[in-house]
Amino acid sequence: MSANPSNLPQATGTPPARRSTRYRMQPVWRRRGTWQHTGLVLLSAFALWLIMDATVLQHNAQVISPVGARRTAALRVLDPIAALARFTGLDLPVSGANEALGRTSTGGFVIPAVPTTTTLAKRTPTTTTTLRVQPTAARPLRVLIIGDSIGEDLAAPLLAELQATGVATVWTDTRVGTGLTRLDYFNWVAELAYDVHLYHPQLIVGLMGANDPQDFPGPPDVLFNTAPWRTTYLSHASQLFSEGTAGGARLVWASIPTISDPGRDQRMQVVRDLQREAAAKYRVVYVDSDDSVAPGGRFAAYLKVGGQETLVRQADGIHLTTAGGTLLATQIMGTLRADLGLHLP
Amino acid sequence: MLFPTIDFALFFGVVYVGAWLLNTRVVAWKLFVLAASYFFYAYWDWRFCFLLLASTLIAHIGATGISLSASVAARKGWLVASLVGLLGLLGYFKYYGFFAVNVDNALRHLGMSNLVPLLTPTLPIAISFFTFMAISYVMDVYRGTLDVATPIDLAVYLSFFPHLVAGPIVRGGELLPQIRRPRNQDAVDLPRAAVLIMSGLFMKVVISSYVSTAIVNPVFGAPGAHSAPEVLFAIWGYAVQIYCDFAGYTNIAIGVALLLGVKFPVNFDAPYTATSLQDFWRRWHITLSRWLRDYLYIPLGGNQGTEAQTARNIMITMVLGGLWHGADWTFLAWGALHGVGQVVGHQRRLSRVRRGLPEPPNTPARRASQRFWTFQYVCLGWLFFNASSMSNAFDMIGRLFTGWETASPLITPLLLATIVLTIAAQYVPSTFVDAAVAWFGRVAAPLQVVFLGLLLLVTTTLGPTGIAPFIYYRF
Repeated sequence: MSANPSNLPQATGTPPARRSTRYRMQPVWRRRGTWQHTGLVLLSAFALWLIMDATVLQHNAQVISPVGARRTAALRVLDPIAALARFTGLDLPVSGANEALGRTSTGGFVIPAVPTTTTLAKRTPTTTTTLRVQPTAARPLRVLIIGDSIGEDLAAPLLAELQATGVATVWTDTRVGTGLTRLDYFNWVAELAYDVHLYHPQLIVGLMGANDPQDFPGPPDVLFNTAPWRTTYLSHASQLFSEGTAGGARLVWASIPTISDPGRDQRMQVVRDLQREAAAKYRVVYVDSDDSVAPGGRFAAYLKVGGQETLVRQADGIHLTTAGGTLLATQIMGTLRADLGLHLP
Repeated sequence: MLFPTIDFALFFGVVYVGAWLLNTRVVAWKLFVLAASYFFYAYWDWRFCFLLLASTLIAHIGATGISLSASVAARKGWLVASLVGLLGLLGYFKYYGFFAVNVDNALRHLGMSNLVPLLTPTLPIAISFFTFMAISYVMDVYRGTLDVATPIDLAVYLSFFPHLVAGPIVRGGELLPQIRRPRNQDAVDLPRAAVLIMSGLFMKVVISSYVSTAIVNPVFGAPGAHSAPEVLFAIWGYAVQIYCDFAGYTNIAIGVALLLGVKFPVNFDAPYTATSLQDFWRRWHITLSRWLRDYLYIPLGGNQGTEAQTARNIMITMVLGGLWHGADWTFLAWGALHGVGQVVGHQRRLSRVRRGLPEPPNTPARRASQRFWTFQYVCLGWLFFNASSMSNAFDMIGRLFTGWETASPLITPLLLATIVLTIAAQYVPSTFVDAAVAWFGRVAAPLQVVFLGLLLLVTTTLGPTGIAPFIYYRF
């Protein structure tokens, strides 16, 4: 629908030269108000929305905002308003709508619980890294790719490469803005458990963590890279890897490649180290993404691909371009063949 | 700071009150709005402000030089110098990486390598928009259609926050007079602004976000994993997504400006009802189309030369228009497709005239057919526009011919209804919108409050968690 402001009468109090029937019925000068009147209407409408949506806004401030002054201030404002909304029942229309849309009443993600009767029998992690049965077109390899936004950069080219073999069935589950720190926002452990229940993958490939260098919200808040933070993050990563490998699937985990900002990369290294530590515990095949997209651990926006200089990183210095994603996908395909002994055409 | 955020709502609340309180104090109003606009821009990255300031200074020095020069040569010299400065900034920040890597690869074939440093300058948000506005200002001064503005007027004109991020590309003649005099503080057009802002929010937050996550992103991300019908719907879906994203943003921008008493030009006029590509460009991103027409196509000679020259001018204009959107072969291909389509249309019309054939009767069936095929051609262009690379675009096209045997789970009744209804909504006459505006203006203030509050609630509830940035802010 297009709204055409040029149809507006140009001056207040002066009827337009050509008026529609509606305009003739209702003189145009009655449509406009003083700035104070307009401001009051806008402010009141905003206040109405704020009260009715307060529980959702409060939830968003709690689980999406990083720990810090902004989050604290937002919660200070929103907590009493949300309480008022709950007390008066003004939150009911939105909570009802959210539940009807398949979310929590405050707009959060709902991850279905895995039915206990159909939970896969937990197996002891295998001591070998190879898969027992080679995939064929008739019995294709069941692959699940998971990740955050940078995992998404890998997912598309890896999916294409796996499908091109003709012996793989691939599912992807990538969620922008998620990770292993804020499981209160999106619980990847529960999500992976459900994915495993749903798809029964034989192989899981994962890449996430770019959003993870941040504090755990409290109270009390747990500051990034303190001993309790490292313990909790390691536990989150371990839970994820445990969930992924429990049903007998092999898990291949790619590291966040070196990013352009050295300061942020230093923080990212904490995440990489803990993920690697957890991977070792669960015999997860850990792939160092730098081998393909940041050789020598040095950030490079351009790399030579097929003899041509090619842009492999996006402008933010974190994400991968399609070419960068393809490089990493090729590296992972090599790992699947070499380390997991898969015969992929 | 993006429009559909709490941050913007709070920012705008302060600016609204401040701007109207200072309305009659012209200089204070300008300084306040200028500070607010730079704050708005600095919210992304404060360093970008220096670039905006540099563009303003270049445009001001160039325009002043032009106005003070007596000779034609000197005026032309100032014009060229300022264009080089403005386009130089745009070229470095937006196109350097693209050209450097392509030049480097071309030189490599000649046995020369590493002659061009491969840099990746951070692309400042909205640089294309304010550069084009600065160019139009300098050109208008050169042509004598606009007087030189004071530095503060020019700075407010270029940075005025409602248009700063993604247009519309407002001309100096349209905006400068509005910032030089107080606006009518007893006649704020709330009904029109409310309809524009609420429709814009719904288009962006609900429709565009839904279509992109439901089909566009998954299919463009991995065309090989999807069926041919899904690829087709992803292309049509992208047509809906980009329209709702960009026209939605523009609606909000125009509405926000209206609340401050400033009128912006129209930027969209039901583009998917176009009966030809020429018609499409009269309806899509109208302020860019007229910029390209007035500052590129006509100076190149327009349609005043031979047929070949006209074709050349169309192609140059459309290819550069494509490149304006981004430094990639896909944007170039998009522009070239529109150029070729318009040249062919132009040639067909000329051929008919030459052969003395009458214009075919303008029947409803003919118009429907024209609209259908124009839309399909525009969608072919969108395929390249949204593809991550040329090979991605060709994968999509290839899949259209090979993927008919697989299932299409992404095509749901809701998706189908969203695409069909969004396109059908373009056929709703503008009088309907006027009637809605008039109705909203007639209802009592408390009802207006309830109506706006509930519409906002519906929009935020139906929208996804978190808002994806507008597509067009990248340009």
